[in-house]
Amino acid sequence: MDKKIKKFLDTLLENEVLDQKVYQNIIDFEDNNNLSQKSKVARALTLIGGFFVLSGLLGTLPLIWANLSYWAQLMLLIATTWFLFYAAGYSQQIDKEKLFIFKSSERISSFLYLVSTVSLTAVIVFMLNILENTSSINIPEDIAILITSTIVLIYSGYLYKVTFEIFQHVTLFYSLIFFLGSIGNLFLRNVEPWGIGLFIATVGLIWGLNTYSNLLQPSWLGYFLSSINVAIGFVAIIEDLLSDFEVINIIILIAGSLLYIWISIQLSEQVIFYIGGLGLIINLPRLIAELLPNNIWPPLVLFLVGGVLVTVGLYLNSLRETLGKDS
Amino acid sequence: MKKKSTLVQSLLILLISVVLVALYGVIPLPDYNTEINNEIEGAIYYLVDIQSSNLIPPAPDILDECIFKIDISITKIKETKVICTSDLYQYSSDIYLNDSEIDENQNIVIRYYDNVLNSQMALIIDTKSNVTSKSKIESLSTNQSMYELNSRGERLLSRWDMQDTSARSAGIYYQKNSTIVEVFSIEAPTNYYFESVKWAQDGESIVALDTENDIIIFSKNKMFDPIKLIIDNYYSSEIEDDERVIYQLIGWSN
Repeated sequence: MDKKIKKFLDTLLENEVLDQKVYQNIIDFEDNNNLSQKSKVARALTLIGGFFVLSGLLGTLPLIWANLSYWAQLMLLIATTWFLFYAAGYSQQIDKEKLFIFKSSERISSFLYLVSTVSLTAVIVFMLNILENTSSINIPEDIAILITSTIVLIYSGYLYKVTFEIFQHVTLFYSLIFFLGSIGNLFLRNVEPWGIGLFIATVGLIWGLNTYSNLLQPSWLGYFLSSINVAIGFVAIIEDLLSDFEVINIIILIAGSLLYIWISIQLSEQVIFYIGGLGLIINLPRLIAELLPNNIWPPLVLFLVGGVLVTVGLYLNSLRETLGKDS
Repeated sequence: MKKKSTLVQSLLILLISVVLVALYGVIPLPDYNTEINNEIEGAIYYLVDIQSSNLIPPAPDILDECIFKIDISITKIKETKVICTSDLYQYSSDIYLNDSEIDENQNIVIRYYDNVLNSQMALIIDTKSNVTSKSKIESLSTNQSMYELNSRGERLLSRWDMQDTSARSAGIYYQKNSTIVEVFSIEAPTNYYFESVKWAQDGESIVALDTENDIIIFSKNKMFDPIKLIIDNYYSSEIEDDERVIYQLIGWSN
């Protein structure tokens, strides 16, 4: 049993919060459900060995890569992908404990699954290129990108469903962007910058909606990806369509930042508040610089940036107090 | 149920934005005439990067830089190689191919740094016989400026001189005294523009490279519509599997 938990249980027993029977039941339950020490050692050894194999492979590959034929390179990539996928699945079954820089075995498997996604992408690119070089099949570059992005999106979706971890959440988001981008590149060429901005904002909005419906977890990451992409999309749209109207442009961005702060309070999500606050810190000085003479704005900027920071501090403090009361 | 309805809403939002972008956000590339006009003649020289087509993206390696030539007097335009950097390593490894120019005798002048003499030198390539000779920079008489400024004092304006990001158009302009004259203007995507714009030697026609890597010819007085040159690419087994990108026009000689 974890020493901290054991100590905590002892404290509870000493203070008669737990009686001896419940205390013993907890100890027995933990002992019966935990892996034996030998099993732990075996699994830890396997895992550490796996990391050595992986790092050895990553260290050796660049040295021999250029001397290998395309087929050998492909085989190596397939083996690496399979190894990573297997190692990730194996590490998922290990008892929760810290290892190296990772907080838990779930985090290790999540990281390995992430690397396996990159490796799988390389496998697909290689396979398509080899197919084109060794046969009469001519695969246009756009189609090759679409095939790659589709397979990577399916794989990312599957991994997200298996793990629900942050790395898979991020991978799923960017593989969706990659997939939509490859479709856009195929059917909607020469899109204007505001069109690209609209796509980015739309994907951000969709991500936010699905985080709100609890389809995507953890919520902070879903809202972070959503809010940052909606912001980037809207900035692209406004900068493109209202580039001649600087003041209106900045006022809209300030209004958007205030909207973010309002939404963050409604959803109790700090990340949205940070992005809204950052928008205010960037755009308020811009507005002052546009409206007022040059020699006035430096102290005003300090005043406003300070005001925003004080608000952020007070907001975070109130959140902390609310959480404290709730707990 | 809530998750499913959110997914349906997401698809609807995506669909609406796709329709909006498809209706208002896509500007097609300009369409040009491809038939060669009898009034235009001469040879156009340009610089090409030979790049490796790597199996794993992103960055291709630049394997070589070459000067190619096309004769536009004939109907079927065939590209021929003039010289590549790899042909000039006997002189130096510091060859400044992107500073190449055509002198008044229609020879190509390539500058380089001679490590033995410790000075800037030039190679003069006779475009008719392909004979290469060395020369000191001081003894050169080049007419590089004539490709930007013709004999009537008309200066071609670059994209940066005329940049208007909100215009959604591409154009060719020249300046005479304080007047800016439009040669050609067309609605085009924001990321489409003309670069490396040069006068023909008679100062009546203009050649430009567009962002689609096509060479386009314009008439200053709008005697003919712009012509996109369809080029039969130079073939060599050495560069068979490599990508080629035109990145600069050198000039248009008689």
